[in-house]
Amino acid sequence: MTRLRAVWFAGAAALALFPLWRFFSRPLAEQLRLPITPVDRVDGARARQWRFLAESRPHVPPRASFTVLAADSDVEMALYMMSFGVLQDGVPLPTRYYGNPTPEFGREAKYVLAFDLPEAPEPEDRLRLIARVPGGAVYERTRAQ
Amino acid sequence: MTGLLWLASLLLVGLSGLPLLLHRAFAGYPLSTRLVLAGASGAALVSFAMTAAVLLGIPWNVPGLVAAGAVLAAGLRLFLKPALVFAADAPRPPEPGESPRVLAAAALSLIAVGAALGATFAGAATSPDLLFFWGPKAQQFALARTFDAAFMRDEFHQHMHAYYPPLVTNLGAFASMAAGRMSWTGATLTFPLLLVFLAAGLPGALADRLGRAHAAAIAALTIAVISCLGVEADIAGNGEMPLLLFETLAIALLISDAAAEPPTQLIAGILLAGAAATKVEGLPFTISAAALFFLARPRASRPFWPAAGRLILPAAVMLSAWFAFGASRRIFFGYSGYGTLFDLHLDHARVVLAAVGRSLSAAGHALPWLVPLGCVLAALPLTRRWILPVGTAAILTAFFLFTYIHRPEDPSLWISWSAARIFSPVAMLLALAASLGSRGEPRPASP
Repeated sequence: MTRLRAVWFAGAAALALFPLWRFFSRPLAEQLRLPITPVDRVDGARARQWRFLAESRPHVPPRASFTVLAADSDVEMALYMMSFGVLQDGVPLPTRYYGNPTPEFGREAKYVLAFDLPEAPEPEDRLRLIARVPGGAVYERTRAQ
Repeated sequence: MTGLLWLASLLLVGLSGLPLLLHRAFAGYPLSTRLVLAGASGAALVSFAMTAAVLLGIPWNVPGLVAAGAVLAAGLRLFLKPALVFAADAPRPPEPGESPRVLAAAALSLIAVGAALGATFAGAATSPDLLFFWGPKAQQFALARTFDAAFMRDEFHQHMHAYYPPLVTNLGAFASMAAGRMSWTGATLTFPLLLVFLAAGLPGALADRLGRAHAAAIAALTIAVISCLGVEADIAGNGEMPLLLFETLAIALLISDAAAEPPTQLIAGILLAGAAATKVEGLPFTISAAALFFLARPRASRPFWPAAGRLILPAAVMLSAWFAFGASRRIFFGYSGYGTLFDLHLDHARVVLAAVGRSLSAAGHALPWLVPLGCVLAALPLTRRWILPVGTAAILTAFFLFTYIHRPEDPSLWISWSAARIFSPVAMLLALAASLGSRGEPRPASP
């Protein structure tokens, strides 16, 4: 039994120290930087998307409807899903849902959060730029579609 | 600050479990174990009270829910005879050199918890599922002070998985109501918080069979397994850590000598109910653990029907309430599958096995599974109790593989982000099974 206990101790020590070994195997300055989002060191792309939504939030009034646009449909879906948490006071309307186009809902949105798009997603006479934020821009629809 | 308040409010649910765990039938457990068992039982009971309140049309409020959970615990206490003699009451003489070994094991557990805390603080262990649906659902339910049926039914909210069992979102909503808003940091910190609770409670749950020093060592191994897995598989903020808390404590109780006592079986039943109410895979865990208990512990589980009632009824009641809600609002009528039952895609078998292997390897080179497996092999031959943890691990593994093979499309991507997480109970079960070696048993154990 004593031999077994030594095995348990060795196993516990190996597993307890493994995450620390990971920690110290990377540059310390990078490891000690305070995270901005909950997923900074899990998924850089997801962290950037979360930050985009968080920075967009002050520009979307409470109870206003909004849609999220991105070039890639998976990214757009991830942004849509996370927007429920970040913009909890708003009303998210999907322009695509799991890649399936749903423009009849998306175009009803009052605000458009455009992620990583090189230019305005719709003609300028329909959209007014509200703010540029890290990762994209927030637009307000100026007239019915 | 909101994060701390959010987390601290979760301690309130522990109060609900106290009326039950203050019963003298549990006096044989150390105080830390009693408090942890009270907290875990209280969490399950408060979650059930929240579901029942929705069915009764009563809006949630924090003091009312704590009181309702405490009333349920007090009601369950009535099932315990006042003069029960608890197996762990018999004092065990300390082994020579016990204290330094206990301290060394506690230090290892502390390092493992510290690693989990550091990774969580650094944003290196957060589950994306927290951001996708666990958190938003909890937030929405807290605002609505009930299950928001319209929100759950919306065709563009399918990604919220309306049918997922309610405990994680219930407790998230509870904490959000208490703190005034959702805290993402608080939600992620449930990983190290529940891990430290487990570290405090697990040694006492194992000590009646193993003695303090051995119990502390096997608890340290189990905590290190969960910590390493949690950091590598990014479980902070999702349902995995609550699931592991319930499952670990339940199995620890069921392999203990005290499992022959009705109070221990009742607490194990509440913990299994908590597991079933936390995640879909908690249900096969609960069914297999309860069934295998009778096989592994034939004498401890007599008489059969009362023991079966104590182990299974709490889960049956909690899940019945959940499905009654889903059916009455026409939102869901059971767990959603990924195709027709038994329509297996065996041509995917090789792909599934390879993808599972890759996923486990990516989580710390599969060490969280290989290390406890090595400890089990070192402990061979095992006592008959091995049937419970190892059998449950085997059934869970079969269930997960069945689920993956069930999907018509190539499941590789799905497996890549889910396998390490959902196989985490298997690693925990192996760690507990390592304590069941039959050579040099510290105390003669009954089957």
